[in-house]
Amino acid sequence: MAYGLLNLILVIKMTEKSNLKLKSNLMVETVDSVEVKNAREQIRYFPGDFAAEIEPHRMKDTRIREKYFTHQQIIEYQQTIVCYTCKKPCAGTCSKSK
Amino acid sequence: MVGFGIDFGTTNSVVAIFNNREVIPFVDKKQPHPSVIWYQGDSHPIVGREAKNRVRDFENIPGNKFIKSIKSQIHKEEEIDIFGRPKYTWQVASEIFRFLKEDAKRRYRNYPAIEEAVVTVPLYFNGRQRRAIRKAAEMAGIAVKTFIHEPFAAVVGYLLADQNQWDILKEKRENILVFDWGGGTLDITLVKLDSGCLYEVSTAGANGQSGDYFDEVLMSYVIDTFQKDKGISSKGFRVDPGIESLLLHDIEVAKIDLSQKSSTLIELPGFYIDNHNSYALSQNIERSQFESIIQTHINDAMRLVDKVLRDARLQTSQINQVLLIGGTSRIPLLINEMYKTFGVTKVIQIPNADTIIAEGAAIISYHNWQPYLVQSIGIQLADDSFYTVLDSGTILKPGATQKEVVLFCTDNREGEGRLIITEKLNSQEHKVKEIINVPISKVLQKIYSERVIANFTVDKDVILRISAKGSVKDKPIYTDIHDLCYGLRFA
Repeated sequence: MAYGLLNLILVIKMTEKSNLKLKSNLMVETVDSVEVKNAREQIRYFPGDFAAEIEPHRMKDTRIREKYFTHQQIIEYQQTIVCYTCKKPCAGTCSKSK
Repeated sequence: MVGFGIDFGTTNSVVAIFNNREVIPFVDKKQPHPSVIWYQGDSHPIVGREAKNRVRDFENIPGNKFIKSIKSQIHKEEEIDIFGRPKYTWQVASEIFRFLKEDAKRRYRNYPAIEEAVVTVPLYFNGRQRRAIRKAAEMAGIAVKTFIHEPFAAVVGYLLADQNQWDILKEKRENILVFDWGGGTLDITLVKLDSGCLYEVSTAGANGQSGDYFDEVLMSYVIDTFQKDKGISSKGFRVDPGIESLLLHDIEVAKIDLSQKSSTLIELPGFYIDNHNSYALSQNIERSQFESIIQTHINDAMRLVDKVLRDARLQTSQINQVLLIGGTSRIPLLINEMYKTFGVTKVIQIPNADTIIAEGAAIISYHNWQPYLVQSIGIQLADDSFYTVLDSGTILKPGATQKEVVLFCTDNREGEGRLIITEKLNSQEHKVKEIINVPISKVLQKIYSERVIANFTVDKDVILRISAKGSVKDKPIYTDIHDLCYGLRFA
């Protein structure tokens, strides 16, 4: 109950004056029909967790994921993995996994 | 060859002509033409000073309709009833353009007729307002060559009328603050003069709390004081609308008077009738009383000055000149605030402040200058980088400035492509101008085929129009960016 109330207050605070930075989900492919650099590397700009949803086999296979995904994406993916010991996506930071 | 400029103002309007030797404002007894239209039945309306001079006597007589401050209403879609004939606001506004054209033809016979002109607009005027002004001008037979911001035109009129001075100006680097406070709008612009270019750096504007609004505030004050003096209860107190319009006219005169005198008298016989008692209004207004009424609005205006300086990252000491334009800028309280902020020597009350905007527009028209884009416009991308679509320095020429950008999506879980249009302030900072959420498919496996097609076009109203289309809807989403900073190269 108290947690829910705290969340509600947080939401109201954020609505009053948000510090959230707006994030785009678009990358340029062509300008006036001319392809720009990196236009064919669409997958490398996906957020890590989303990339894992779209290409689960590639992401889960530790041998090939380094080839397909960036270091940042892999970290983002790992942060979504639920820890066996604390049952939360702790990215290896919980006391039990240490 | 000549160039015409038109300042279509809320309170006054004026045309100026430039022939490369001198700039001449087409005025009436050294005064600009009041933007007042007087309809009498079916005949052509009377416009300008004659209409304004008759407001007081004829406004309350049936068969007469006066329209003032039409510019403030130009954004409205609804029609105005003119003796049973509905007219759009732009159709009413066209009467002012028609009058300006005919008056010029009648009184300045040595010059060619006005066929085309550069027309000035306030900073905040959006696409709809500009289109309405264009239609109004075209209906009067005047083609709009381009639109230019009013404060920017004022600087052009102030600096560039004499071509012999250009070589000296080319060597100068100055920061010029233009404070343009008229009947309906307050526009503040910081203009830089640098290496033969003039360009806007930061702007701020407010709509509403200007001269016309001060008239209403002062009128409320006079009516309240009258009630208190006469001991008349507020309950059921109502001034006849006809008398109120007479009072508003007298209030405007009194307000202008207070810029020159320390007090003024307002007298109106038969102001209020109650239980067969007739009360006359006779009220002395001290300048200090008027100043205390408008003090908060002066403070608000000065805060906007601070904002413009802050946005430009300049201190008051770095400003070389402050130009005061527009009738409301003549209020002594404001002038004193400006003196306190910038120092007496920097604040310039231009003698031809009523016509300088039109004069600048005429100079721009003569030279066929097209404004250029001061700050790059681009897109914020998913990797937080900025992609420049239109470089700074791009000439904002209708039709010539257009780009198509195709974007792929990096995450379609929310079912929208987030197109964030930004303006580059410097190498590190960008300011978000618009966000367009373009509907796309939420089906995850369609991510590889999802595209957003964005088209950037500068239209003939010097507005950046962006359309964006995704896969879900057939029709694109449109947005206008109208508050672009303009620049021009003169040497």
